[in-house]
Amino acid sequence: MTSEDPRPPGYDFQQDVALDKPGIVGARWWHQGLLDEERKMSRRQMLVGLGVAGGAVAAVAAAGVGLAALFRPEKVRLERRRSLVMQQSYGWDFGARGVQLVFNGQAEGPFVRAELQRLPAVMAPVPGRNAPYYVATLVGSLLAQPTAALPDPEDGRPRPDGAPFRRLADVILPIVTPEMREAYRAGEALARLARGRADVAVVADMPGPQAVAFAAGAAEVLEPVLLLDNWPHPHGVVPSHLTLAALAYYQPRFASQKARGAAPPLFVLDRLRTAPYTEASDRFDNRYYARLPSLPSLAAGGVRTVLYVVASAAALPEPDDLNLVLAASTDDPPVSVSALAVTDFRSEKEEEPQGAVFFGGSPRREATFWPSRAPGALTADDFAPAPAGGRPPETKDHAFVPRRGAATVAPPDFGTVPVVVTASGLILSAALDRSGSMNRFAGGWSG
Amino acid sequence: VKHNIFAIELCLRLLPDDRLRGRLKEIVVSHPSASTPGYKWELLRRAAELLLSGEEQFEKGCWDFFEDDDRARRDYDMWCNGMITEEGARKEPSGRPGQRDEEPRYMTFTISLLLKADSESARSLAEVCRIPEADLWKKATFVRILQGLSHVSFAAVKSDVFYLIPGDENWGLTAADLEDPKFEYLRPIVG
Repeated sequence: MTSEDPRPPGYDFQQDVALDKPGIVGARWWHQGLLDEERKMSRRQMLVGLGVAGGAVAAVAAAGVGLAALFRPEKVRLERRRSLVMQQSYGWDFGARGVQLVFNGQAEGPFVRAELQRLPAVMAPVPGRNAPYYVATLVGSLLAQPTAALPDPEDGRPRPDGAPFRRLADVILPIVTPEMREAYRAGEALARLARGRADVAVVADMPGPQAVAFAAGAAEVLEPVLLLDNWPHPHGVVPSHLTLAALAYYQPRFASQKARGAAPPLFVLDRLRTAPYTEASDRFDNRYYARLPSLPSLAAGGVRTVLYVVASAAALPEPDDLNLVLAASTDDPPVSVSALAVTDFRSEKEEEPQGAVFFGGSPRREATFWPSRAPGALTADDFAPAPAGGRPPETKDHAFVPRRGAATVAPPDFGTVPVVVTASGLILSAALDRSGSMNRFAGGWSG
Repeated sequence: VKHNIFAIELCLRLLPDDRLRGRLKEIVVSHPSASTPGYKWELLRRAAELLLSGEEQFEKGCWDFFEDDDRARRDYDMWCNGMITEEGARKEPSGRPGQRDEEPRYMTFTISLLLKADSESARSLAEVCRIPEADLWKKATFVRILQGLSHVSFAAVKSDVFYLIPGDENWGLTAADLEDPKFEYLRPIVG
């Protein structure tokens, strides 16, 4: 332990991983005292091996070789670690401490930052059938503090992530964008359609802020169930800080609607969770696969109709991580799955784009919403003259069919980050910028 | 520095209204992120005590003690990855025991210690784990090992991991889950 060691005396064990999820709970600790001892021992062995003593040290120093570089105790290597685990240990901004988050669409108006403390409680479903599905990962990031610090480099340079840590709750700003407002109005319209139907589940799969806005619009009738399973990062592939920012904007709305109590679920997904990513870039891979409940699980809770909502028809088909879930055959009892888009909800009067929206653009079309989703049912539209070239395909016509290659489990490297690790398992830094981080430790790294 | 590894994983049947799973969860999640060897010893002792209280529910299990340094490091990573990758955890709830169907539900509890080789603790554990091959999977052996964990001093433990599947009583493992090849290392406990 050094004089700068933040550990209280005797508190030698430091946790670096902690999980508390419905599927698993657990934690790992490392004995920092033994790690320190091991590092010192390695330095002594290195000195003995080099025959360095007395004048030899002076000679080496005079030759311009940093002594600390010789003291680098162990070989290091690059490994991939779970991004979320690294963030939970070393902070949400692991490898990028001090880099600012960028917010688009910052909301104007009053904002009480202290209220963010309550966001996790506001978003937790009321006890009942939806509660087990709730994924609290993203909102859990707001108040989280690092549980470990990266070690000081042996070469005397500044410690990685050595800048002061700021919680996400201290840097998040509420946002609202035109796309969010559009999604909110569509959510309101869907809530109108879903009122009184206990057998419905909705899956809102859009860019995070829109999905949140859609859920806020529908919150009077449908209970939002977040399935947001990552933490934001300044260089994140998934800009989930914007999703948090949208949650901050709609927090009063969600809080006011909790009095509704138990209600059919509206699962909130961030469509960018599987966004394409080039490993060669300096992006932080905070992607994940959604943990959407299976149709039989939903059926056991009374669900018979699943509405899969995307931003526009162009967002179909559903991503690989949902394909097998939504395309599963369910006969006992049957569960129907159909697609829907925010753009299917339009204002009746084009001159009032900010007004109430209806499915299909009019109350008349909206009246066909449920009948048109009944298997084999015909609606008035089926008897209307078809436009030249035939009726264009609608989102509801999208067929959920199992695809080859689709899987509910992410590939092994998905959502992982390269880190520099010593042979004894000590993490020295993130390796987001390989020309930077790796060079610092390049003297001894091996395969 | 050379290492030894100790690991034990027990699969226990979940009983309706059983509080054992909740108590095991409580001791793990409530343990502080910064801890002392004494507190860690208390955590290990309490975990062993709780598991022993559920002896009648033991169904399957696995335990290891290896003195080879390479294997110790490698196997410790493997046990940790079982938690970090959430490999054994269900992706969705299965329902509480007796809630959806009459099929049994199970939990697993795992402890692994990366020990400093040639330490008193490592030698004690090695002695506890010196078991005749015919007795490897007997319940009495698992009981003996759990009882022997009180001899471990955390002064010689470089790293330790504790995990419980499931975290929520609605997410218990089913018999079908345990048939998956990823659980094939768990053998039926006999006797």
